[in-house]
Amino acid sequence: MSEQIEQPRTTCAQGGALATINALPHVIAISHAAEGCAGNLTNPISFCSGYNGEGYCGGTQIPTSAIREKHVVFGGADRLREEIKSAQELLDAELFVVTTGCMTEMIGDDVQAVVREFEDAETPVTAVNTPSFSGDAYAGYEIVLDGIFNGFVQPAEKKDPKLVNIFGIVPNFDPFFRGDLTEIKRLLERLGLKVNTFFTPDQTFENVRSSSAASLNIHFSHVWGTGFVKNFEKKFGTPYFTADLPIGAYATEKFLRGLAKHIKISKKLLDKVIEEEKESYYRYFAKTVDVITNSQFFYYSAVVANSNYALPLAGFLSEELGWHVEDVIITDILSKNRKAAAEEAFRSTGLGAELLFEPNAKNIEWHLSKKHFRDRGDRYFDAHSPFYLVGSSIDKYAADTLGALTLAVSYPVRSRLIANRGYAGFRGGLTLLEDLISVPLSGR
Amino acid sequence: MENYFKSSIPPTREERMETSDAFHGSSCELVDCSRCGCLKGKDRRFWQSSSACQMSLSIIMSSTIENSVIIMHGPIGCGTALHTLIPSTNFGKSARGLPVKPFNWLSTNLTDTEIITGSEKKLKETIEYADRTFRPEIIFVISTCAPNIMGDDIEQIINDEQKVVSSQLTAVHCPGFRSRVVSSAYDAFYHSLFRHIKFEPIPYKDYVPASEADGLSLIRADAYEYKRAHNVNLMSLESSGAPDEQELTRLLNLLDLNVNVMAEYANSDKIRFFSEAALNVSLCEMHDDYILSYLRDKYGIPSFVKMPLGIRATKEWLIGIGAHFGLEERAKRLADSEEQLLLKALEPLKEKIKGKRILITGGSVRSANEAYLLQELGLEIVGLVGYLYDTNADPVFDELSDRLPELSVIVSDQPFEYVNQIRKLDPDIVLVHAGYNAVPSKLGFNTIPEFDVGSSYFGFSGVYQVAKKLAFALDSGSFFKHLGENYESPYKRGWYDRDPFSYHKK
Repeated sequence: MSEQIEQPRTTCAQGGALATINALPHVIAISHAAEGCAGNLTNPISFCSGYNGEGYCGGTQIPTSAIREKHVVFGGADRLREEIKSAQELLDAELFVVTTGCMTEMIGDDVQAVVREFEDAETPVTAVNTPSFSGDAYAGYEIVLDGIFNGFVQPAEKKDPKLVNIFGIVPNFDPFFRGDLTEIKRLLERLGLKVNTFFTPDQTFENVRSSSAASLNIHFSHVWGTGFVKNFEKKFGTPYFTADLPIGAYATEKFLRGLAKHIKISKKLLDKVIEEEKESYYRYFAKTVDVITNSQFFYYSAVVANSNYALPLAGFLSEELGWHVEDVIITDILSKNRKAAAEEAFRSTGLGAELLFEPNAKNIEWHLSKKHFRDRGDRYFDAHSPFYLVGSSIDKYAADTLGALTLAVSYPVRSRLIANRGYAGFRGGLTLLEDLISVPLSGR
Repeated sequence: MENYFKSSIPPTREERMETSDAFHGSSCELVDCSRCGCLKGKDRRFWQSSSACQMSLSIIMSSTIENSVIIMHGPIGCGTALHTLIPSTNFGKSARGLPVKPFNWLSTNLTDTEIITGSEKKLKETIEYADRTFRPEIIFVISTCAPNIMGDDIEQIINDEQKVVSSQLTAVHCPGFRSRVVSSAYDAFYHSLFRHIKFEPIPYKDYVPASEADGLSLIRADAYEYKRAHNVNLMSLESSGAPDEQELTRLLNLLDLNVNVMAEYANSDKIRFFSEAALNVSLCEMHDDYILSYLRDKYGIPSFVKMPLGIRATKEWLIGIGAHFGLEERAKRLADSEEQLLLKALEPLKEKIKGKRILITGGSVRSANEAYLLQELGLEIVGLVGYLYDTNADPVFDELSDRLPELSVIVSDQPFEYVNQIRKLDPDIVLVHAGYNAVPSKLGFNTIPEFDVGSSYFGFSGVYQVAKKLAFALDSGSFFKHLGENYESPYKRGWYDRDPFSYHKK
């Protein structure tokens, strides 16, 4: 039996599915659920990742079968059929994706059968089963990827040796997903690659269609989407390369050199790009060193984030900012196997921090405040101060208890507005530096 | 209604009265339709996810109660809206001078296992965990769709667990699929309060009972009785913020009435005084009828219902309440003097906004009343959209059909109908229900919120603030203009040429 959970930093499978679908270009979800489901999910999707908004046809505009009491008794397939038909007439989309909620799964509606009736419709329709009692938002992301890419996308006639797909960054639940993908794309394009990010504003549905022609899937998650990229390889023969999302110069250079082992990139070009990027990076970085060293902006720290972001963040703080990362607390709800994968990735970073898997806010606060107590009544005491908690907006209360500075970077982020901000790559590293150090500066 | 009060699960609005979320016509036709029972059958062939569900309002209301914990009893997604609701209720607490503390909530995180074997054990464990971890005064168990389909007896669990926890424990029953109108949540929330939370002062805790042996205590009891006879419960709305409560409290205080704002932003100590009022003042016909009936039946407290929006309505509101306490003349003098001050201040603002064409959208009762306010400010009302309707609103729309007989009235919360109407009506500005501002704004239309808990709408100061908001928005047109020029609509171009009600079932 799973445990009760305090302030879940996720939502249901349908929520993750809707977030992912909303972020795809001209793909519209149809929620086969009670009217409230997608409506209520507008909040955690549109407002908890730096106020990302409804998007093209998300949030309150998501078509829904609006299942009512009579459908619970007699089944909701007819209502869904009618909804899809109307959506075909009304909405401009490249693809409709039907998602399901708890109720329609409990009453056993066969959505796949309904969708098959629309094989010849003007706008194609596919369906994914996303009952919330069998997975959370991250699972919803995986289910949608499987449904669209491994289910709907057709095999390409031939591979494009320069084309790569990027997966693993979970829309909204990785709040900086757009900015991060934009920077990764910029770097890879400098290396002569063509990049399908799927979720950035420059993408069209053609990027989704062409994904099967990619020669490599870059997978920025040790935990989420692993099964999906394996299935993708089986179906389309595209291998995958799993890496941490690189933040800052050190990690990004390492990532790009690692990538060159998986796809053909000219060595000369790679060296040139890395050299130029690093030069620019350190020219900017050096400007900030005056205040950082003069004001001693170095911290003991804890990273409280999902498994995708925790390690890259901890790596950046430790490797590039010289902070002491004491704790890495992974907050997504992980099965045994996924925990093992995250643990393995953590070990390979060589970080000296303590790793903890803990989704509950209060337990995180207790863990940190027991470990980093502020005094012991001793004359000499090696207190972990000043302390910086890099986490989510929920963790500000833990930071208060610890007397720590804090910045919200992990879901939910409700204290900041995020438009094109990202922390990945060279440029993202500088942005993260700006954001982190602006916190102690904000009182000036 | 008494048998509803005794039942463990509250009725939905549909069970109690005529409701609608799909109508277009005149206000006169709307009321006729409501009276002859033809509203309920109306349906659409296309629906969007704009109306949330009973649960969404239930958690907003519950999260305002001080020192409480919410347990979402359902799968992990239900209630994650709390992530953004809590900052706004924290804002509400801070605006009312209440301490802002971390608000704790949990999900029972129902999974396949519990869907098959039942969720009772997990709920009990979660209640006990919440009680010992957070030591709240009240625990709200929010019962969602899944446990209701499974048929779990939540009330039994509440009764059993109440014996082992120190918090007051209650359940808000709000399976979303049972009701199309979110207003069912008001009843579910109040039902949860009066069923399990103490509504009466406790002797020796809240007061010392009078006794013959202590002569002074009898005098104190008389004094308390005098005070009680001048107590007013001002019923809160999710759409009225601290500035509204302050304005209305100010006006009633000027009549020497004591005002307790109930029940949002109250706590268990304040809720015990719910029954200690001489009058319940409700600001909305559709919001409070259930709890008002309960308080009338159980404690004999009469109620006064009117929305003080606009100058005339505020004056009538004030005089009506004054009349209840025999203070009609005083109230009238106060209302007149307030009006004079306001009219003078309004002059320069009215110059800027007069004659502008406005579309009103939002809560039905609110929209109808806002029409009078906007008319007083000299705007031309091009249409009125109410999101939901029920029989409670009949008198409001009766009045509207007298005052503005030509006005077309729509009951809809569907964005696709809405964008179509806005394009066709082409107003200068749209008044929009909070949370729905983005759609018309992206179409390129000036918008202001129909309500905003951060600023004032009710009373005399409200009129001034609304005028100010309108003048500001009408003067910042380029923001909306640029948006409109660069907006990519998800609706096919042809949709804008069709009848907005094409998807109503005949």
